Amino acid sequence: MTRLNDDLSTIRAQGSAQNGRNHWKAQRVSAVILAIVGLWFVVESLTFSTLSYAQMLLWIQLPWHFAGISLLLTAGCYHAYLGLCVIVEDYVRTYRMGIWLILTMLMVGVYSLGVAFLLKILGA
Amino acid sequence: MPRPLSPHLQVYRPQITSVLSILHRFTGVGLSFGLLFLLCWLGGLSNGEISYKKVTDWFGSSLGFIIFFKIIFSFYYHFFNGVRHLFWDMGKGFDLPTVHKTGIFVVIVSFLCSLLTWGIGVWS
Repeated sequence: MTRLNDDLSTIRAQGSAQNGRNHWKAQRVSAVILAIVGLWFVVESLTFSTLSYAQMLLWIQLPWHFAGISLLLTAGCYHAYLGLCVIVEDYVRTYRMGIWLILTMLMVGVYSLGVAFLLKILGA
Repeated sequence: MPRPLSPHLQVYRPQITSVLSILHRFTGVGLSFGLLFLLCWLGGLSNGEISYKKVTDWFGSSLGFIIFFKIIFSFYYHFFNGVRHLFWDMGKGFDLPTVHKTGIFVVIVSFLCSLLTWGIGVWS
């Protein structure tokens, strides 16, 4: 099949791949946030099995605890998304158009579900 | 036609540097799934007492507990090795003896914290 353009012109037309600075920095910033909030949550969760449902609701509805869980969800989803992007970039040899779109939508979906649950808890 | 990769898994003996590195990636992926468990817990909490009981019962069941323990270990390992990564980002601890020492330290502390968490969880 004859093509009107050659490989070099196709590659040049796609432009620069920019840089990975922001990705690296965002990964580190979300890691630090997640380290603090994640550790806090794991330590707090040790007592969760002793709480009844009503007590658990009261616990999570306290402002600082609610903010902590929200931060855990946000930073966690973002950090996981960045990490999974790196893994896809490392192991997937032929890029299809939909890969990053799928990953992004998965993360946004997970995050929105979490936000929906949190808002419902807030209203309960 | 995809380009061939030079062999690595068939050639190099597993060392503490490479094994800990791939474990960091592995636990990262595992924790991404763990995020879904957090979502399950939030969903149960938001949906009323019966759903919350269902979720906590499943977490306490044998299959749920095994998965839970893997998530706890993944969290602690990824946390401590992540701190090790952040020190490397600052430029500290690159010489080989330190890398080996901190690597062993990370593995031991992760196991200890997981056992501690399991013990406290079972005790309460």
